[in-house]
Amino acid sequence: MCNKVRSALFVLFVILIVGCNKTFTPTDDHSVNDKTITPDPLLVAFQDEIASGQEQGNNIIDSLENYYREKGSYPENLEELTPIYLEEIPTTSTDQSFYYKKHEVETYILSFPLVTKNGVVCGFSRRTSQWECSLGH
Amino acid sequence: MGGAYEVTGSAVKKYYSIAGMMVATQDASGLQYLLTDHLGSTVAVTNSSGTLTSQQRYLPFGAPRTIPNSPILGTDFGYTGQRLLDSGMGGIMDYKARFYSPCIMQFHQPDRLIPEPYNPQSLNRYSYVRNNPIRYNDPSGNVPIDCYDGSRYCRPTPKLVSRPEWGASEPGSIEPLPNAPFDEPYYSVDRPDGYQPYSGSLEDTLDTIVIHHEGDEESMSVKDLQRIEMERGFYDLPYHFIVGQDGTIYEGRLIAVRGAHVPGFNTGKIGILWVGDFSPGLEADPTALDPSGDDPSPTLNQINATKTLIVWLDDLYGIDGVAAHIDYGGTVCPGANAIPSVNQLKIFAQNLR
Repeated sequence: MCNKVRSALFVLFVILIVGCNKTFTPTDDHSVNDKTITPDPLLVAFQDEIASGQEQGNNIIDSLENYYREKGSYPENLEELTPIYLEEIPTTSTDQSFYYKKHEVETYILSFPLVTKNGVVCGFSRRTSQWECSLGH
Repeated sequence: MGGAYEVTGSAVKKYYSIAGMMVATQDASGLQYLLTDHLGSTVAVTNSSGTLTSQQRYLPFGAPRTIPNSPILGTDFGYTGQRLLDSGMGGIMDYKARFYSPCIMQFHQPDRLIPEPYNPQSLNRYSYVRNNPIRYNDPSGNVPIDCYDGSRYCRPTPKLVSRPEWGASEPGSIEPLPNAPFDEPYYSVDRPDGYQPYSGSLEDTLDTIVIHHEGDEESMSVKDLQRIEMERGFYDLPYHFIVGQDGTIYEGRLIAVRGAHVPGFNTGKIGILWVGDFSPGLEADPTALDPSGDDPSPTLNQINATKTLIVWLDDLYGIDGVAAHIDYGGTVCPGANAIPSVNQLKIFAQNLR
């Protein structure tokens, strides 16, 4: 009798623990919200423009670094990269040109403006080696 | 008046000071800017277009150290901003209450009292700044002033008109107009271009000061400027500080939030706006109001206030340099007439190191 009670208590204990565990397991957010959210097409275009522009920009940055490795300094303008280091200077997916400048603070900067958001520019600084897309006028 | 307005024969020499520190002189040869180190010693002189004309460094107790372009020309205010007596006096300097000789590293007259009887360095009443001339200066000749303990007696502290004082609206509290040209929401992963409070320490984040121009003092208050920018779609003022033509400094966007003034390069940039339009001719930008088209330059008050601001920001956050907005492309800001002043500030910031 005593054993039965004991095992019943044990089973109850196990259930409690498992139950507790279940309660405290973080729930997967996606299961709660099964509705598919239609992404804002403007936001998608904005992010596509950033991604493709940065991809093209990274090609230019690679060429700039190759140029630096061979010549010991960065070029004065992007035209100096063609045709040896870069076949031709790319434009962004929305046909914007890249802006390049040797820079006393940043070493050099490379940037392109977005057409999906007025006033937003994606810029790469050699000093920080990072892209940033931000606003200004 | 010595050190303010001096007449020698028919020659007039004017001195400009801000918060007790001499910053510029003007005589028949033109305007000259004096740049100083942490003790207030004049270490470089530039002409009005910001070109370095002469410079000087000092040994610890103030004797001149010879370097290229030395000695400084056009001023006899040198070590710790004190005045050199006439040549032939062996480099003796006028420390107001007493004369000091960098050569013997002592005052020529004793202190009238022993200011700190329990400090043995103070017992010799002829000694200069307790024989610690890197850390202290002595503006009055009476008492050493600590240039290190953060009280910044040695350096002018800018008077800021804070956001509550000028009646700032809360960030994001003014709705953009329909068809607003810009769109700055609060920052998110989807909107990396949004209003973004910095997450790391400001000392590590902030590195460069960028100078801008916008607006017209006569027709625009800082409150108007904020409303206009927020109605155009900005979450708050895009700049961190606004310097009026009279030299008043207003607090703009919170310093702990990324600015919106150098698109593509805002992180770490402190935006300073000089109120005015310094572009020759009428600019296409509708906010750069220059109805008279008379193409002014930044005022001396604006430049001096900005120097004070740079020193203060450098103390707080460690500033690497100063740039003009145009250095980042895509603009004529802060206008061709302001470029010489910005160049002068670039040298000024380099000499703070």
